[in-house]
This record gives sequence, C-alpha cells and structure tokens, in this order.
Amino acid sequence: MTKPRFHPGYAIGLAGLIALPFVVTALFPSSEKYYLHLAIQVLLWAFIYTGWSLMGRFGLTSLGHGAFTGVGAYVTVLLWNYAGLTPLIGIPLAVLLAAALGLIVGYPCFRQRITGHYFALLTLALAEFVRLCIIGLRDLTGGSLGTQPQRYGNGISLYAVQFEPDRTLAYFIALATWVIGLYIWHRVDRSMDRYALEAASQDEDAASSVGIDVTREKLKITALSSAMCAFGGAMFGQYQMYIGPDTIAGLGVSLNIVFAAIAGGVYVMLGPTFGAFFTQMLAETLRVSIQGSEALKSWLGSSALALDSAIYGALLVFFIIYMPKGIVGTFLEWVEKRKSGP
Amino acid sequence: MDCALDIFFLEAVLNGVLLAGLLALLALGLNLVFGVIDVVWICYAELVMVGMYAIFHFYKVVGLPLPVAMLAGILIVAMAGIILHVVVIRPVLETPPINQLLVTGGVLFFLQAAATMAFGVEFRNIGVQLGSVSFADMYFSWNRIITFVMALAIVFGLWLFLRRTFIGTAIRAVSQDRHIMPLMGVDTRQIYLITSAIGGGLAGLAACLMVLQFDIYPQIGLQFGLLVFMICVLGGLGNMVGGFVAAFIIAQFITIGGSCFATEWGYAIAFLFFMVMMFLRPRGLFGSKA
Amino acid sequence: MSAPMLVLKDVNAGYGHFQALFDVSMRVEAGEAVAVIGSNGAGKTTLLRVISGLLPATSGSMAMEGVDLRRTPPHKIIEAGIAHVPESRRLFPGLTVEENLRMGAYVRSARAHFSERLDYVYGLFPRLKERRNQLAGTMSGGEQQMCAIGRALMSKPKLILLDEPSMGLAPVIVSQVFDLVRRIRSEGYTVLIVEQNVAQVLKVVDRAYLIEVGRVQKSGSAADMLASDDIRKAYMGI
Repeated sequence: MTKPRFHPGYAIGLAGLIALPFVVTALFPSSEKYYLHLAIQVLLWAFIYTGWSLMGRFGLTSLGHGAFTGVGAYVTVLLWNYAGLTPLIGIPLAVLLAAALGLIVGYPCFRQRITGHYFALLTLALAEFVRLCIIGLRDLTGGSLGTQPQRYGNGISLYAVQFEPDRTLAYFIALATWVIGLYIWHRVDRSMDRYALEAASQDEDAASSVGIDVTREKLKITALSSAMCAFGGAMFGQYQMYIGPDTIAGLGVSLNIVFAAIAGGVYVMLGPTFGAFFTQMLAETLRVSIQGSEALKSWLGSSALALDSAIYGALLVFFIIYMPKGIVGTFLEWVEKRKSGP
Repeated sequence: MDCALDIFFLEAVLNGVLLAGLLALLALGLNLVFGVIDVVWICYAELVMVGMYAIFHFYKVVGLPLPVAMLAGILIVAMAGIILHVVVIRPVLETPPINQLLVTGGVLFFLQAAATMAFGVEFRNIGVQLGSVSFADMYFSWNRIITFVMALAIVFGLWLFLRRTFIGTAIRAVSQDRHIMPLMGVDTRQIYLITSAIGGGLAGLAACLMVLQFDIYPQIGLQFGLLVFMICVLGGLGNMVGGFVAAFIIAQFITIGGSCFATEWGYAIAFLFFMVMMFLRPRGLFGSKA
Repeated sequence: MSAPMLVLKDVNAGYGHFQALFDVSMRVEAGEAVAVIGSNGAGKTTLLRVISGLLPATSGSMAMEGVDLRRTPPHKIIEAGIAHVPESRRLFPGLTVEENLRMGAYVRSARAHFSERLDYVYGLFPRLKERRNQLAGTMSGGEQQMCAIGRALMSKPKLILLDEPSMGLAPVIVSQVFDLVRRIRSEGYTVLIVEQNVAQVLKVVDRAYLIEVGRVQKSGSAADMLASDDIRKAYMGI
C-alpha cells in the first residue's frame, strides 16, 4: 500500500507532536515532566524498534539487537568518562563500531545462508556475549550495577550531549531522532534494495539468479539497522544518564524490541512506533493500576511488576498466532479489505 | 588471573566433566523436540524451572516424600509439554519456524512472570544435601556424580528408543517427511504429542537433578537456556551422543574459564565458541541432517 | 474371481477453488493390475492422493472391499489394506533401508509379523538386504524405488497404489522398475498404477483408464488401449 509521499495527515500529525510539550505543560502544569518523560521513552524506543524492523520486515529476525543498543550506549559513555571524548564524536564512533559488529557477525551468517531460527539463535548468543563482556569488564563498566556518564556542568550541554534536566529540550531531541528514523525507513522503502531484500526473503536462490547480490543487500541493511539501534541506545544513555547491562543490552532488551515491533507491525512505517506506544502505555497502565489497587498490591506484593511481563508474554503468543502482521498491519489490511469492497 | 596447572586446575577440569553430565541431561529433552521433530521451544529452560518449583512445592510445602515429589514434577512437566504443543505450537506449525521461536518466547516471559507471582523472587532451596566425595585433595559433590551417571544412562536409553522401537523410528521419520506419515499408518498429531510429552518428561527429569544442586528462582532459565540450545546445535541436531560431546566442550570452557578468569568470561568464551562454530560448521560438530 | 476390490463412483476433488477431478468412476478387481494414464497435470496423482486420504474428496464415494474410504481418516487407510508408494519415492532420507522398511510395518497388525515380512521383502529384493544399513537418501533412483515398493509390501497390503514409479529415472532403470511391477504382480498383489510412460505400463497391466483434465475419457483392456489410434498418436508419438 503506497501512500502519497506527503500526505496532509503526516503534516498535521507532526505539527501536533511539535505542539505537544506546550499543550502538556498547559494542561498538567505540575506533572508535565512525567508525561514528557513517557513521550520521550516512546519516541526513543520507537526509533530503536524502527531500526530493528528494517531487518525484521525482510525475514531477518534478530533476537540480539540488545547487543547494538548496548554497544552504542556503553562505548559513548566509556569514551566520555575515561577518554574525555565528547559524545559528538563518541556517538558516531559507537555507531560505526556497532555497524562493524553487525557486519562481522552478519557476513559469515549470510554467506553460510544461516537464516530463520538458526539466525535468531546466533543473534541471541551475540546479545548474551556482549552482555557478558560488559559485566566481565566490571572495572570499566561497573558490571551488573551499570554506570553513568559524568555530568557536565549543570547537565545541559551540547559538548557533552546532555540534556536530561530540560525535559522539553529532551523531548524535541527525541522527536527529531524519531522523525529521522521514519525518514530512513521511508528511504529504504523507496529503494531498489527493498525489493531485492523482499525477493531474497521469499527465495534466495531465485533472487540471486536474477542478479541480486543477496549477501551484500543483507549486509547493507544489517549495518543500517545496527547503526540505528546503536544510535538509539546512545541517545537513551545520554537521556537517562544511566546505563546498565540489562537495561540497555542483553536478552531482555532484545526480546522486548522484538515483541514491541511485532505487536505494532514490522511491515508498516508507523508499526514499530505504535508498538512502542502500545508497550509503554501497557507498562504504565499496569504500574499505575497496581499502585492504585490495594487488592492487586496485596495479592502480588513485590512481584506486582511481574504482571506486565506475564501479559506481554500472553500477548506475544496471541499476536504471533492471530495477528502476525501486528496491530497496525492487521488494521491496515482490514481497511484495505473494506475499501476494495465485497 | 589464576591459571597454574595445579590441582585446582585438575579439579576444574573434572568438575567440568561432571557439569557436562548435567548440561547433557538438560539438552536431551530439547534435542528430542528441537533436534528430532524440529520444533522450537525457546522456553525449554523455563519448563525445567516449572519442574523445579513443582518439586519444591510438593516436597516442602505439601510435604510429600522426595521421590514422590520428583515423580510429580516429571509428570507435570510432561503435561506442560503436551499443553505447550497443543495450545501454542500447533497453530503455527505450518508457518515459518521463526514463529515457533517467537511464540515460545512469549511463553518464556509468561512462565517467568507466573513463577514470580506464585513464588516470589526469593531464592528457594529444597535443602537436600548429598555431600561430596574427596579424592587427592579434590572435592566432587555426589549430586554431580549421580547426575553424570544418570545422563549417560538416559542418553543410552533414548538412543535405544529412537533406533530400535517403532515409535522411536516414527519420531525420527516425522521431521524428515511429515506429509507421507499417514501412508505408513502414523497419526502425525499423535507423534508430536508423544514427543512433546517425552521432551517435557526429560525436562522434568533434569529438574529433579537440578533441584538437588541449585537454588530455584524465576530467572534461573536465563542462566542455562541459551547454553542448552547451543549444545543441541553444536552436537548436531538430533544427535544425542554429539550433544554429550558438545556439552563436554562447553562445560570445559565454563569451568576452566571460570576458574582462570571471572565466571562471566567462561560463559562469554563458550558463547563466542558457539558463534564461531556456527560459521565454520553450521551443521554442528557431528551434524548429519540434510 | 471378479470381486471388485476398490470402487470409486463420481468422485470430485480439488485444491481450494481449483477442481482437479470431475465425476471420476473406476474399479479395480482383486488380482488385477490397472493403469491410470494421461498427460501431466491431468489429475492422476490427485486421484491417488484422494484414495489415500491425503486430499479429501468433495463428493462421490470410494470403497475398499466395502469399507467406506471417505469415512476413514488418512492414517487408517493402510489398515483397510491399501499401501501407497508416493510420487518420487519419498523415502525417509535420514533413515536406513531397514528403518524405512520398519516404517512400512508401523501399523499394529503388521508389527507383529515384522521379522517375517522383512525376510520376505529381502527375499524378493536381495539388493535391499545388501544395503540394509545404508541411508536411503544415498541410494540410486532405481534402488530407492525398490525400497519404496518394499516398504509398501511390509504391511501385507491387498492393494498397492504406485504413483509414477518411472518418473525421474534413466531409461535403463525404468525397465528395471517395470520388472519390479511384474514381480509384485506375480506375487499376487493387486496394483493400481499411475503412469506417464504409456508404452511401458500398458504392457504390464490388464486394464487402463485414461484421465484428461480431471475426467475419465476412456477405459478398456490394455490390449485395446494399446491398439487405439488416439492413444498411440497422443501419448506414444506414433
């Protein structure tokens, strides 16, 4: 389904998003930080999920993208903390490193035609390997406790790429990041590579026989995907002012990415974004209702946080079986069916 | 770094052998389901966790004798295997296998969360100690020795079952050509159910031995889940003996790496080894399946 | 003597919206060998799949010695005495010859007599005995066909369905395969054989049906069919 390139809907949506912080501040003067925080989370994760979906939509389902977000975050912070290197250079370096990692792992994979669930297993191993290295290098990284980028001055600085205290500024940075992510998706969508990769995901042999260099195409998209996720991871670190091997790397993060992207829909531009929105809202709603409900609190006690995991799990099962195209994808399909009539 | 070739090193190597027994036992159930009938249960380790909690519950909370509690644990996980197949795997069997991985991934989240809600995050232990035996200044726990022997026995038993019986042969045939099974009078659905039950039962059996050695907590599956998959793939899918050898290699990386450097590095090296081997020999060290 | 074993009446079947068989009626009598001939895509393989229950019939009736096949689940068809040798052999490539033969005897009734049947099949096909521990996937086409037929014999069937046994095989092997068919005929099995190699198959069977575009166009004794001008022109290039 091809929408015209600059549908008025997009412009309106974007305008709305730009106006959002001011609207929120006006409506909720005391808790605007909280709402903006939610929005920033959604936007940054949406960027990361969109990056993952660049591979996911072509059948390259990686369960190890936590490795790239982790590399992005940790390399940036470590270069700042130990080498005093400004993230303005540190972040691009981290991104390049992550892309290199993606290429190094991807190349033998694609040459050997490792696909499907074997590819997924391998990526799982990669994510865990990175996480273990992070913990192993505890003198540098703080091990399982994580670490923080050293605050520069009052916490707002271009040189240190820090902006956490000013939520509105942080919001606009996150918004810009997200928009860039969508633009990248859009460019991939319009490129010949997209068709090449779609062909390859259907039948690699047939694709190579018409001259598509399948390995090269896969490597290109892998580099892009890992770069995007690394960038997202780095930005997250700069925003949260904290990074940990389980919050920005590892198996849990990897699986969360997959779940959210699939729930939203990986074949559609706004699918991953919706997935981010959906999962964040789900987590928040659960958190708030558990806080608010004495009954639930007493029943679950300290394990209350597990409830959203349980629901995620059940939903993931549900989505894979009944809605493999995700919420947005299935919705769009439904709309198409209505349009083309009985 | 403490890597002298002394008695501690030897102890680590031998403990590695014993650890291999445990890892091999864990891998057996998965090798049957993933290796033989080609179904992906990414939540396999969580099934073992369910078995461990079941045994804990029946032994410590309900007060049944330990052997009975263990039997109950095995049966519960066997049933869980069947339920998993019917509810979660069957609907996606005819779709790309990645869906099985994702759907059991959802079950992984769910089981960990359910265990947290039911039993809390504290570590539990059934408090049974079998003691250890010492030999030339080295100590080996009886738990591990029993596990090793059991693993050998079950590998052999499973091998006999798969090679010599009609059902075992049918289970192997199903992954090679599912669609002509009815022509031989084989009800494919039944074979999947039987295999799921046996796979679950083996996970339950592994739980019995795990529960003697380790504390139980909801995230325990994350410690060994991926390792078990790696062992199955490295040993060549469906190859039980290959799995044993792969378990041995991985266990040595873990124990020697762990004693020379920090624990994480032992595991990290094992994972790295896996990735490199996947590139060099995607079929595994002894894989033969086309 | 002429008790009809397999009876099909007005069978219709298809794949989704695409109908492959239209009102197909035929019968096979005990002890006979019957061929189903026709060009590619005519519906011949579909016919065998419908009899075996791999594809459901949408209407019509099928009975094997009076047993209603449409009411029989696919994995029970073999208990009715029908053994199907699929197109392209479809042996289990990772299993040995003997394990493939064992799969043929999987049904309860056959398991009890497994060793006797095994000896019998090895007696018929000594080459299989030589290769009993060889992986089926590593054998040549002709040997695989031998093994596939042996596998079907393991369940002591009354009726053997052979789906294009000569397909994909070199001409020299093809005549060996038809010798195999003659062999099992002489052992007394009833055979329904689907074939594209019209010239060879008509020399081996008693009767034949010609199916084109999913319908039975012609039927008759093998001799009549061989003599028929249309068939000679269309299928034998004469």
